[in-house]
Amino acid sequence: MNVRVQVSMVFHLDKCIGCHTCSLACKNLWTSRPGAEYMWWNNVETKPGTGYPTLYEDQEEYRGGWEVKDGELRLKLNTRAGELLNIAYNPRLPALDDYYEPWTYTYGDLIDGPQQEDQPVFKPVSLVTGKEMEIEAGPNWDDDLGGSGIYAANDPNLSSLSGEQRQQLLNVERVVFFYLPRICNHCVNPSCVAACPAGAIYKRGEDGIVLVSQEKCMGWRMCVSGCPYKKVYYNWETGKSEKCILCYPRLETGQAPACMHSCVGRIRYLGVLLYDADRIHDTAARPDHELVDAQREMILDPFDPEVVRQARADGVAEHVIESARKSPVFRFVKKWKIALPLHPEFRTLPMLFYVPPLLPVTGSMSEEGLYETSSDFFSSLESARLPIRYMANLFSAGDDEQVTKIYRKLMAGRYYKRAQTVGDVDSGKIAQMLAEAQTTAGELEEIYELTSLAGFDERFVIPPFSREAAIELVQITQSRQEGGGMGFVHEPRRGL
Amino acid sequence: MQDFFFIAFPYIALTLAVCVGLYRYFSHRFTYSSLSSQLLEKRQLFWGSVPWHYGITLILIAHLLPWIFPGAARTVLGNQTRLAVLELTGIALGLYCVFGIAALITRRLPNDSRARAVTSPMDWILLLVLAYQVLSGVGIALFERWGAAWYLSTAVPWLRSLASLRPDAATVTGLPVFIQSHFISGFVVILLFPFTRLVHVFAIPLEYLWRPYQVVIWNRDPQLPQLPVLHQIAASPRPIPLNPSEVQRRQLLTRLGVLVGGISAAIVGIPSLAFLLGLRKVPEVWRSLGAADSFQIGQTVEVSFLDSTPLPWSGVTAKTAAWLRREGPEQFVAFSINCTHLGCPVRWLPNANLFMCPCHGGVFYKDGTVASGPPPKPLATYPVRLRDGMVEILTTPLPITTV
Amino acid sequence: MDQQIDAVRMGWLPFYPQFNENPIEVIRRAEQEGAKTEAEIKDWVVTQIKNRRLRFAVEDPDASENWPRVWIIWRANAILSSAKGHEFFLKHYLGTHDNSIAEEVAKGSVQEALWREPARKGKMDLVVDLNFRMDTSALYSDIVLPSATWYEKDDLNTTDLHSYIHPLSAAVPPCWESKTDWEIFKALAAKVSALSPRQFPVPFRDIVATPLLHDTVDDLAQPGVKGWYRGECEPVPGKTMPHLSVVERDYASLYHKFCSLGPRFKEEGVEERGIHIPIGDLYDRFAASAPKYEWDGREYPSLVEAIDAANTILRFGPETNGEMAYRSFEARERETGLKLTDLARDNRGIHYDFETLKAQPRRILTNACWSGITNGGRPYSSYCQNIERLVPWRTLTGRQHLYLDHEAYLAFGENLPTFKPRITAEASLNLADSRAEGECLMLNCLTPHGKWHIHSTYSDDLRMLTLSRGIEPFWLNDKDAARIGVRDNDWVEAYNDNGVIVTRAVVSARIPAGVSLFYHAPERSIAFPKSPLRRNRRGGGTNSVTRLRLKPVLMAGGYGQHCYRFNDYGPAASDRDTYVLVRKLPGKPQW
Repeated sequence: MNVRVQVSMVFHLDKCIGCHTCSLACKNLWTSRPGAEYMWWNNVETKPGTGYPTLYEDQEEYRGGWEVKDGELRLKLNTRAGELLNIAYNPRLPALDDYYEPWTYTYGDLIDGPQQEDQPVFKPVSLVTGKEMEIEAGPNWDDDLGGSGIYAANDPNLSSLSGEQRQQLLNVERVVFFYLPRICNHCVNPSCVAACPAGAIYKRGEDGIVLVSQEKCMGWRMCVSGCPYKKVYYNWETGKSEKCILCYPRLETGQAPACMHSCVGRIRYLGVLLYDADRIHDTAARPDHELVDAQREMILDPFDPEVVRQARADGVAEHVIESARKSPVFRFVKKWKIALPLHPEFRTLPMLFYVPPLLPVTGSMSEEGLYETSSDFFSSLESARLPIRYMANLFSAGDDEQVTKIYRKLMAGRYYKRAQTVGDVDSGKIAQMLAEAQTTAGELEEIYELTSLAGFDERFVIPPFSREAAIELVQITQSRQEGGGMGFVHEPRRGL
Repeated sequence: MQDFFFIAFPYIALTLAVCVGLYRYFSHRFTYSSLSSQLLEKRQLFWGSVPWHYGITLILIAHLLPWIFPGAARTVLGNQTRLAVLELTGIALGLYCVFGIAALITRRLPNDSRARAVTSPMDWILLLVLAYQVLSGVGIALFERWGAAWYLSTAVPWLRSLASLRPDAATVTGLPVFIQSHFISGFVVILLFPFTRLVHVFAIPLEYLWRPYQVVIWNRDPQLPQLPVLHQIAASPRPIPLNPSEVQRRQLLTRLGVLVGGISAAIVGIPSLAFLLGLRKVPEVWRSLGAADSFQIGQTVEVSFLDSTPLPWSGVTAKTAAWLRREGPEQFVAFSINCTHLGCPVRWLPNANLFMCPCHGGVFYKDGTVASGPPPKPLATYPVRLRDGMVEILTTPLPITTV
Repeated sequence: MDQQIDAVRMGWLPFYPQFNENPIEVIRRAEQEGAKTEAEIKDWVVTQIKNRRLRFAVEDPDASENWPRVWIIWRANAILSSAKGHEFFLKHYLGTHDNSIAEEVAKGSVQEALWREPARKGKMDLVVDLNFRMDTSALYSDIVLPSATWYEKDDLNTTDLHSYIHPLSAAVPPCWESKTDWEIFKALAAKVSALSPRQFPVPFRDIVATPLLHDTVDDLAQPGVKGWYRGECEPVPGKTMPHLSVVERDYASLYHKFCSLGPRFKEEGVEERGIHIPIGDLYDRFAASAPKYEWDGREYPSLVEAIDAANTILRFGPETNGEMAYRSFEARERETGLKLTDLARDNRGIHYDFETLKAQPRRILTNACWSGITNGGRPYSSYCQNIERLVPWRTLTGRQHLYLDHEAYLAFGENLPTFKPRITAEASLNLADSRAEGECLMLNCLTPHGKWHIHSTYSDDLRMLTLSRGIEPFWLNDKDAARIGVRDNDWVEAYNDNGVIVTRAVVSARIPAGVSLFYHAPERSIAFPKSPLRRNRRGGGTNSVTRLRLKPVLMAGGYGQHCYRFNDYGPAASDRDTYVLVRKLPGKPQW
């Protein structure tokens, strides 16, 4: 066992309202610079939909992540030599148009426009060329579309649905969509790190945050293809790749990342997970249907004395172990098992987990003209507007049962609370639901607390970061105090 | 003027390239990037970058190898068929590069192109210089053919002289200006290296071939127990990286890197050093060409003899050729086989009593003077003597060309 | 229109200008004819009105003496997002380009209003806009007074349901030439004061008509609807016609009055929702410690700075001063005979001032002027006091009403809220003059409130536009779109008699067939091209395809809870449910 620490996240999709405040917090803080304006390190997608960049989930096309070939874990993108041979032109790199061409407007025309018969308007101009442009794509183009024959209909996750099921999704009675906010998953087996020929991307040992060294990066742009979630972006102005940094300067000073802090729906949770680094390769190489469970097993219980002993031996600081015990992510992922990774079949072992949304069911009219759902509580899962298979394709490599288990527990929680507050559900039925969902009243109360009532400090359990260790590596603090901060001495300007 | 271009300028270019390059690497590392514009425009880039990079890599290797291993090069090029194939391949690669660089330039030209938005003035300069380089290279290959061969006699000696710090531009000063410009602009490219995106050439990540996929960086060695801060500082003022397995890997790689670097350095450095220190004398050896009577009077025949210092692996290339004529019972004359234009081996045509160079139509009279064509000087001659009825010829390590 | 005229005459609604004669002139004439005291003047005016020698301006709205001439827009996008029938505003108020083709239909059908032809255009002489958003109103105004944004000034902000009161305080001073609203109005007051002695060497009197007000005795004014102008009753101010008040205007002192908290406030106390709270002692205490402003030999609490005004509001608001809250319940107790002061007892000593709020926003205190109970951390919910503490509802019966027995409601058959089907396209009269040009489809056009749109972050800033379609799109059902050959992101033209919209389409099955959406309310400056259909003029915003429709029953007044109150009860903004013809834009868009 080799215990390592990972700062991990849970997004509760039942609570996301698609307001995009998270996207703006990140954008205003980190990516409103030339070359970075098209990047949305945090983005929110409407699902079913094609996502950003368009169709990024189609790994037959983009070849991101890992695959198992002859029992060996391999980068889907290419072999090492193959990557070097393609270094002059990466055939799997998305083009800017797959993201969108960023634009601004000629606001000045409103003030400087000539006298005319009609009112002036501002027009879109490209932030790349400065020339007028037609807007044909954006980072959130299919926002709220739901029933779009172009975008929703082409969602790669619908591939295993029957033609009839896909057609039904375009009926106005069945149209449904939800929001999928995404940031970098700070994977445990990152394919972006593996794909970088220069070794410029690295994972921090103490907290698992994955970063791109702006000095080592030579702009080979293989990492963009390597990441199956397309969360590494190439800065076309500086010639370097950039990605979500999990706001590590904020984390290091005990503040939640900007996207999490600003989340209006309070859907985000942050906390550390302890995991067994010795099992990384093994876990990532498992067959598809075993991935979710294997990743859970790789995650360790911070209350287990054996784990704690090993963690101490592996150099995990005491207060970090304590933080792991209070981690809301541990509870969602390992204890209650109601949060799943996004596309585990990419085999990167992402450490951002989602609680799948309970979507509206298609109800029916009874003869008396009353709207009702079935009295068998879980049968409504079959009449859910989005087939379970769709959620399974997103979160469990196509394994319906993983998602169904979670739904049963979440629904049990809903009915349990309804029995308490409204009182129109019979306690016998509640007991039956609890048994079928394999849960207890105590557990449901805990889930309810953390989901609905938890305050800021319970949702974001930020471990102490002990920056002093890093600072002392470059400064002799005994003889020199109050030195300048770390970072660039020179302004990060594009080379000649 | 010649001195400046062929002696001073190359050294200036090389010095700047190394010094500024290193300075930029250590102080402005952020600016080291290939500055790829594939994200912005990929279709024309494909038609530009792939031919360009594949072509130029192979061409550069083809220019570099003869410079490092002239003997081996001569072996390969001694055979006419191989020479023709190489020449043809070279032209093809050159055209490949021209096609590539043309695409790389035209994709940046339109005023509203995205690629233009990220093209700096230095990019334009670099593109133009590189374009000139390959265009002139192809031009030379087409109009002054068989450069694969005469490169060995002209540029290679000059470049080796630069490397050994005893610069001698003799072999190149007589060349046509068009060809000289190709040599000079080559050094312009070297000069431009640290001021442009060309720095990416020296960052080609070969180590990716053996680097482990994952890179984890720690602030401390997690295997060490939590030491008091003071001890850690005393132990190492640098970041202590990695845990044991990664440490081993890094050590191995370092050693390997040192080894490879050392070998490369040795290959280049030792001869230069030796030459500098005068350790390598230019030996002159009299080689026997055979009995005098085996040569008929008035007949011009090709003779071959060993180099004065044949290297173990020279094989066939250790042999040098010359044209030997017995003019009288005791008089022999030996002409250098290399045409004085660009060094191609000349042929003796007995019916015409002329030496003819197949490359560019140079013709020499039987006394070696120029009859027609581009050669500027008569054929050089080797000293020949008779000893005990054997004809002997005085060798030098390199064939004599123009002077 | 006729109903509105009746409403104004009966005192149900205000209208400006008031009369067809300058009210200053009215007073002068009254004085010339011997009326001196306030009562005499009022009687004189009533007689003039009764004899139709003095008319209400609303009766002849197109007469040049009856138009409003100066429009000061403050904190609203009055010309676009608030202007239902925006194109008509452009035509009749501003006299500029417009895209409507609707023909006049009122001729022959109005009886009370005087019909004049042709309809008047460009009535406004001056439009001034206090604006920091620089929206369409600013674009069309004559003078724009740039005002400071929320983080450049001291101000207060709250809504009842939010139940916290927030300060806005200056993180940076107002940028460039902008000023805080307070400073702007103060500057205007100063200028008026400086200029007025030329026009008005001495103070003069003015006659003001005000409508019957809710939460006053006016609620009992009219048990039945009787029009004095039809001879059905006598015109009695405050009973069958608007109140009349004689007001002394001393414009030369306007600035001083702006900057000081006057003595009448102390005398009259705080009046809100029918509750009167005496404040004499509190005023004195406040005056003793507040910054002072002196004029005319007397000292008053200062209102020179916005923060002074804020502190004044906080000191005398029952929401923010526990003593005032307590007294509000005392007043309610007197009215109702219920025991209510316990609701404010624990908070009686609490009082917020601006600095307190800057440290942290505070909860508003439970008080009798609002109907929620927020003690003990309870969320604000309306009508808790009525339900839990049996405080009578402010209706005629003191109970909730489902059935409304106002004669106007009875006349229109709206006394009981029953289902009424949606108005048809023909009846809506939005497409009387428009013709189908090319492949067209008639669609119901709705202008809902979208995310990031009005009431929230404005969607026309670069970030929000980047996260959507880069323009305000027109949402269509997929089958409808296919019928007119429109694909997602194609340019479309949506038009009716009122105006035209030109933008790009979003196509989705989640829009019901027959319906289209154009979210409320983008500015006209966002990249909209010209409309080839309407004389190559630029397409407009959400209100370009709507028109203003007044609902007569909402004008009803003088009867219980049906009584006018500013921003509280009166004709609501008509909904923006309209009909349009939609086609694919021919050719390439032109700007």
